[in-house]
Amino acid sequence: MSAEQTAHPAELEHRIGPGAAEHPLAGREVSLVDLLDRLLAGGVVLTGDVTLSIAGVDLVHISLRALITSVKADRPSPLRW
Amino acid sequence: MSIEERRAESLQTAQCADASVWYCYAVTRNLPAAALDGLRGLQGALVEPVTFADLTVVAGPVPLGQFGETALRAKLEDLAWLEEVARRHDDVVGEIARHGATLPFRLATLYLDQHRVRTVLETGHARISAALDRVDGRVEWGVKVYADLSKPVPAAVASAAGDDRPGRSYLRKRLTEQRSKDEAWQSAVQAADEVDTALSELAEERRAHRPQSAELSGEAGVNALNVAYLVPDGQGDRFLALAGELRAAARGCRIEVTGPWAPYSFGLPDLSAGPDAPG
Repeated sequence: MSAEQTAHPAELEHRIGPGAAEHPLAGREVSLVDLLDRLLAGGVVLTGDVTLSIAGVDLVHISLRALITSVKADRPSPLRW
Repeated sequence: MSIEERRAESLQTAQCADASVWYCYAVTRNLPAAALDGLRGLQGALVEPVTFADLTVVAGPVPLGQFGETALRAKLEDLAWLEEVARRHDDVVGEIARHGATLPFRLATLYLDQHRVRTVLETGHARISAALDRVDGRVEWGVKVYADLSKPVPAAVASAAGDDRPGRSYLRKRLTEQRSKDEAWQSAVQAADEVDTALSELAEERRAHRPQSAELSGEAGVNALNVAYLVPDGQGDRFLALAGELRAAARGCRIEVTGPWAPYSFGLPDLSAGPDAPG
């Protein structure tokens, strides 16, 4: 495996249960941008009682705009750690 | 009183109060009674099971002051807040997924009370069960392919050096650089396509996400492919081995694998559009 791979077995075990750390490709910390791909464009979509009255696509748009603004304002690339 | 009337009334009266609404993390079935012991979600609040028949939504109280529609719009622009919510949500999902097939909810799915959550389970029971069947015994793997457009093609650089007129030479150099980038991009797109085809063979389903901007991810290169695959547990090792081989063989691009994830990318389409939709 290349040096850029950093194993976090404890975190992985916490996230998805024992055994995951055995996967050599699975040893990377969850990046926020990967997580947001899933949480903003995936998942079970049910119409809640408190609903953003905009489509999911727009929710993604708003959030990514926020991220870009934050990235530019604060720090060069905060989304990997 | 109809749900709409009740909803409107509750939202109105609760806007300024520190009332709670129920934030839904995930839906699962046959959850062991002790599975949620001590498990805390957003705001440090203990999560609770909301059960109808064999289905359980894991939900926790959050203040309407932060999660009401208006507040939520503003808060989503706050990176620190968004990250805290996303990571807490993912932590809870990870805990639940240890116990069996689990479908995470999309970020910020909120209900006024547990009764409403139960109603949604009741009306959507068949479709939620079918969706859980679909992901049972499978995990999601993410694969991203990045094109490396930074290296000029040596031949192109050499040909540009032969001209003695500086302006023309500069333009030609720029042109060949651009051409070289275009070619590198085309070649990476083709490589990404081949990777996608090969990995799809071992997956039951795939879902493409939007390519990530380098500005957001901090990754080097240009994201040409960002796909989630739903892979049966028994195929996981083969899938990773193949991904490893493809990564080792990749030229002009870089392949990254993330996961295993709970099946975030294979949740239900909007239930409210369906025939058994609530309210």
